[in-house]
Amino acid sequence: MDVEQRVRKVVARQLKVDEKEVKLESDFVRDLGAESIQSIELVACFEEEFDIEMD
Amino acid sequence: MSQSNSYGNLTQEQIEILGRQGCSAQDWSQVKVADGFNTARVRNVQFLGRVHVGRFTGGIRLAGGLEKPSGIYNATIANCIIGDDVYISNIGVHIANYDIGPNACIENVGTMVTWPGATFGNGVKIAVLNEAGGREVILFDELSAQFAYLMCVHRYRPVLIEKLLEMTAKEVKKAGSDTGKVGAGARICSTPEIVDVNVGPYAVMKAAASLVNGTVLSSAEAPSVIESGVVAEDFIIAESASVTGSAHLKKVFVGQGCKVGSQFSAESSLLFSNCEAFNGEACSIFAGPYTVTHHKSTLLIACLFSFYNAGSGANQSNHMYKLGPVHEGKLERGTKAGSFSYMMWPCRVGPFSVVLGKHTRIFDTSDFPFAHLEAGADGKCSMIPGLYLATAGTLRDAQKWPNRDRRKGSKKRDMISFDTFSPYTVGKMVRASSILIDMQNSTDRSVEEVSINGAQMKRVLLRTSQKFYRTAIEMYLLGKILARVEKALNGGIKGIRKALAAEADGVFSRDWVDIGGQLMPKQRLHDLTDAIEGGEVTDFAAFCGEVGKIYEGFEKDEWAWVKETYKEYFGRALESLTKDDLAEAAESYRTTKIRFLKQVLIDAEKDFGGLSRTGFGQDGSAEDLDEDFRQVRGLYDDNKFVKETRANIKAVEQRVAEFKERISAISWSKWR
Repeated sequence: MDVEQRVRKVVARQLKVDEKEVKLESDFVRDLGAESIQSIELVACFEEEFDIEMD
Repeated sequence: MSQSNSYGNLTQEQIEILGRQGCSAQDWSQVKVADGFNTARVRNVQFLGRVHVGRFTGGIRLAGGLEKPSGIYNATIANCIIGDDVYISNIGVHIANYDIGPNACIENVGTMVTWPGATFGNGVKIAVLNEAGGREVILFDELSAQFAYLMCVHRYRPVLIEKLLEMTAKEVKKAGSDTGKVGAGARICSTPEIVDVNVGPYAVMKAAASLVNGTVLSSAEAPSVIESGVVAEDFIIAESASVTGSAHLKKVFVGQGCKVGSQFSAESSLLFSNCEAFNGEACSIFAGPYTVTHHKSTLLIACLFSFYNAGSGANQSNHMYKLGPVHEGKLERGTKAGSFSYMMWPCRVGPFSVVLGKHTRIFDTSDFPFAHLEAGADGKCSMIPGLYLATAGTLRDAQKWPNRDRRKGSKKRDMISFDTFSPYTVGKMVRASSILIDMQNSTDRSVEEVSINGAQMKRVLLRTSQKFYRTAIEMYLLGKILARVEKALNGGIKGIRKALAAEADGVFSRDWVDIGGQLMPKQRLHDLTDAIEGGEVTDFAAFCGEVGKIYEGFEKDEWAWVKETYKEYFGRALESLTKDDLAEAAESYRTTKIRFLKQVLIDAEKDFGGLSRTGFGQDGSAEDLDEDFRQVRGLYDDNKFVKETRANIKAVEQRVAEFKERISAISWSKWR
């Protein structure tokens, strides 16, 4: 699975949206309905998925 | 302001003049007057029992510059000492058994009486935290947050409580008298009922409704104000406090600099320094310094607070329909409760946390400071530890509290530690990190949530919260070291080594405690309570002396903690650091602190973002929205807090650069 697919999967799972709705130009808040706390969780999921640390 | 100290009998001529002016006496021989007594300023007065009357030569200057000639007009005075240049006028019933200081003004008052054996609010038992009793604090004039805290919270040391009760009894005894006092310069007007109330110098009591069994502490430099419609029974109100707006108090201590008003009602509660209580209700609370509740429908009940902020409609339950209202809550310093948040006691919340939603499950997050605690639809607490570390709100609070200390005058009863980051909070972060690491290591990735003392936490956030805490721990430890070495740079290597060494009088305890707003190592607390139990500290003045010494020694104790914690956290003793290590530490501090401040700026920017603009520009165009927002809220770049934080970032850059330059100039050869 490439990076884009993995990101899409994480976002869809975390924000409880359909993977198809997650587009490159999607705004997390405006388009995907992410709230402040969900953004924190999203970052945490990316960190775990890619084993990285994000600021 | 002078006060006569020699009184004599009235002459026959003076008695006749007074008689012609509508005055009478039960026994004129019991009416003693000061040298220079002016009969012209005593009219329509009935004297009962033994009355001393001072000289009337000057006047009373009232607000707005109005001056009234001192004297007694239209009053019944029983068993009183009236000081020089007092103004008493239009007393509906009588003033009985009062010692009234010079230049006091009592006007349009109904009954003002002291009954035999009065204690003026001293000795009243307040059922704090546990509404059903068991943690009672007894009121006395000098009560401090620290003393009350031990009395209320440390019931697990019965010998200590017994000794504290002995100290209390001595203080209560001191207050007892058959005669009440009105201090010099006090102003009392339009108050129908004042019974067994001591009024301190320069206090202002205007249009209160009823004051019974209490003391209003006040002084020239720290006057207290009691105004419109206030009903208070069994109370002590301390200096610089104001109780206004028809507030109702029953069995309440109002500490120095407190503001209570707008129909706030409180029962069986202690409010220490600088609390603000408006509109809402309090019952059996221990409100440590800076507890703030401003809104209607807000009930604070059976809980310990300090540096607390209640949202509108915030409330709690201490009763589960079993054995009565016996449950209690502990919200550690800096906690905020969102609008209509609810907690069911018992619960305990760690410092600087934010509580949102309706929590119907019991939890204890005291090990997790700066946490986000939000109730789900099922009432369970969902926690994100450390989320509120790098937020604009936290930083603003830290800045504002010391600037909002309304206590005037030299006497400050409560010891208040303002530090947001201290061994108390950072120590909790160290412990929390360890718990989070253990949980992360022992939890399978397939698990979505973990449970910690009744709170739920998303497994994936275990690492995130560690990161939040790591930033703060490092920022704090490195910042303390930098500040200490910085001061010692002029002393060269010798100075630096001395700075990094332990302080002779510093006490190390891994755990620190928050004793009614004062932070201290646990060992200091044990030493204090041992000294009380062992009979070395036997009265309240000695207690205050010991607490004051601990307060003065804060920095030394803090350094002992920083030194030991640094060694454990970074694996190196401070004494082993080289010049390069110190430069590197400064650089790490720079990176961490600036990252922290930038996160704060990002947080502040949310208040200027798209969602924050919702509703602006009403009835206008898209351009009007931006202009409306700009006019009302201003620009992010112009915001005072944003500017200060940016300046802070620059200052950190500059400070660290200077430090590195200066430390590099110290001769390397002389460094071991």
